[in-house]
Amino acid sequence: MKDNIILKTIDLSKNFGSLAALDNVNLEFEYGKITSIIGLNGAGKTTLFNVVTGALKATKGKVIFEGNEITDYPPHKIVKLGISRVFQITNIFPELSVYENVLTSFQVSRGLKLSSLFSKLKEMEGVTKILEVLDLLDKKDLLANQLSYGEQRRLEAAIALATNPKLLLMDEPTGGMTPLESAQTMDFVKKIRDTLGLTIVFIEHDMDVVMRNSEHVVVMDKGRIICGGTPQEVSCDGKVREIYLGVTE
Amino acid sequence: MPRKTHSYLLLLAPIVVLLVILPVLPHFYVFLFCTAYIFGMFALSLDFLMGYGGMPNFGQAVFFGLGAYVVTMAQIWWHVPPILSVIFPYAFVIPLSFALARVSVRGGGIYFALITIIWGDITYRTFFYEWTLGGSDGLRGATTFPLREYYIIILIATVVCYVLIRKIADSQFGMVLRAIRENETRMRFVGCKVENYRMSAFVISSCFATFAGSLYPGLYGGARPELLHWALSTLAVTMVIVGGLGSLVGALIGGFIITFLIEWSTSYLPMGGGYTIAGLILVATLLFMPKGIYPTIKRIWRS
Repeated sequence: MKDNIILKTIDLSKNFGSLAALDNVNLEFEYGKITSIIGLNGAGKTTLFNVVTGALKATKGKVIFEGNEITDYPPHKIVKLGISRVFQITNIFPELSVYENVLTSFQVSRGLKLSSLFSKLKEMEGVTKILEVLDLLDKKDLLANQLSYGEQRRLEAAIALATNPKLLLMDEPTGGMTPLESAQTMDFVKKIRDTLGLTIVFIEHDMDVVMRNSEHVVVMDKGRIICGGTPQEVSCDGKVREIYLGVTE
Repeated sequence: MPRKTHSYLLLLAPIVVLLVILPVLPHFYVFLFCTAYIFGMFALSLDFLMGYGGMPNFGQAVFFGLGAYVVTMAQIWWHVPPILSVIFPYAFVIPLSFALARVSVRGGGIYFALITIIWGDITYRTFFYEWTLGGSDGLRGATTFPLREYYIIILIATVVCYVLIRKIADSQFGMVLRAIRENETRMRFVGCKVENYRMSAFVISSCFATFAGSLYPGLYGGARPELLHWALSTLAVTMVIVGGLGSLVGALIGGFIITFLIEWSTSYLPMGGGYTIAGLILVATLLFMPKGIYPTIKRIWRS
């Protein structure tokens, strides 16, 4: 195995009855890169994230993270190893404050001791730093459900970052956003990578966002990988143009 | 005023009033207040589990009833002094609540509620039909305390219970529980083994319910199988919802209101009529104050 590979899947398959949502997927993600996964609806992108993060069990194949097999580990164990996730539908704690949202994640991922039964909530430098990176520090006392949609997406990223991940998986981080919000969100994604040195993999439908922000692109179709490479390489691939962009040579 | 100070004051004000009027209160009312405090504590234990942990336990009465039964057993079978007998129930309740938590918390939601009803019913029937445990008559013969002195003991116990539960609810552990209630999936994906936290909350809550139940024989002189029945758990759920789910002070208020109404209704309604009254109060609360009495009063006060 190459040393610079953080996550690798070997012949990874996931079947729902007779439907193969993932069909012998072989992928490698490099440390520190921003990779995007594209594909039509039903291509298996979210299923791939679900299997990698333990939300679904693989039917066949392996998931290797930093050289260790993590196939079918439960989600909480996978998070502790260093894989965190931002969901397609915003997944936050709406009735907790912004600060508590991130603090909960920060503390739980590092393990709470028995003494936590009586210990008060306290300010933590790490939490403040994450809120600062995501430009949410001035809203830390608001309830999460009082934030705008874009801010809630950023808060979810903050929750994921608070687990101290090495690899961040983001499922359509710009879904439902205006072009301006999308651009801002992707700026944050780059800022996160540059400041915290993470590897980021994101699923995206907006080709403009993909081409502008990815260093590597993976194209999926019907549960299979049909192409991978730099944005330029992928956009010139005939199969991709035919299946994804609807362009025939 | 900070939220905590506010709720402490709301708790302390009636306590001070009740202590002042204690010497002139008729015997019946002192007894009634003692009962209300005990059931208020019971409702408090359930509010912690339901309001913070999001677990509607319809078998909570099992722990309340076991508290009462084991204290009585310790006194009449093993001749343990009354004061020491309140320690004994935990030897049974802690392992039992761990075991029940293991089988119950995995399901979550409606499955959790159904499982708790089932083991609540099994326990009730076991005690009801087992003659060595007193059968349908229950166990009698526990020492009762002079009423006015016991009133003060129960009052102090209620305050201690409230302060401890409030401390746990406001702690880091309490925050995690609230987060699990809000979004279980997200919690799993921040590295939380949700079942462990739920089990801990379950055991803590059952210990407080046991504590409330262990004070019952000192007032009534024994225990009866109805204390284990899921109908009593349902009554506690009603107390919590009427008072205000997740507010803790509300559980005490709900406990007081329902206990007083049930007691009052026994003079005018046939047996079991109290439960009908409690049901009607619940419906009225859900219609007119869906968040419960305490949060509604608090909101009006603040506005």
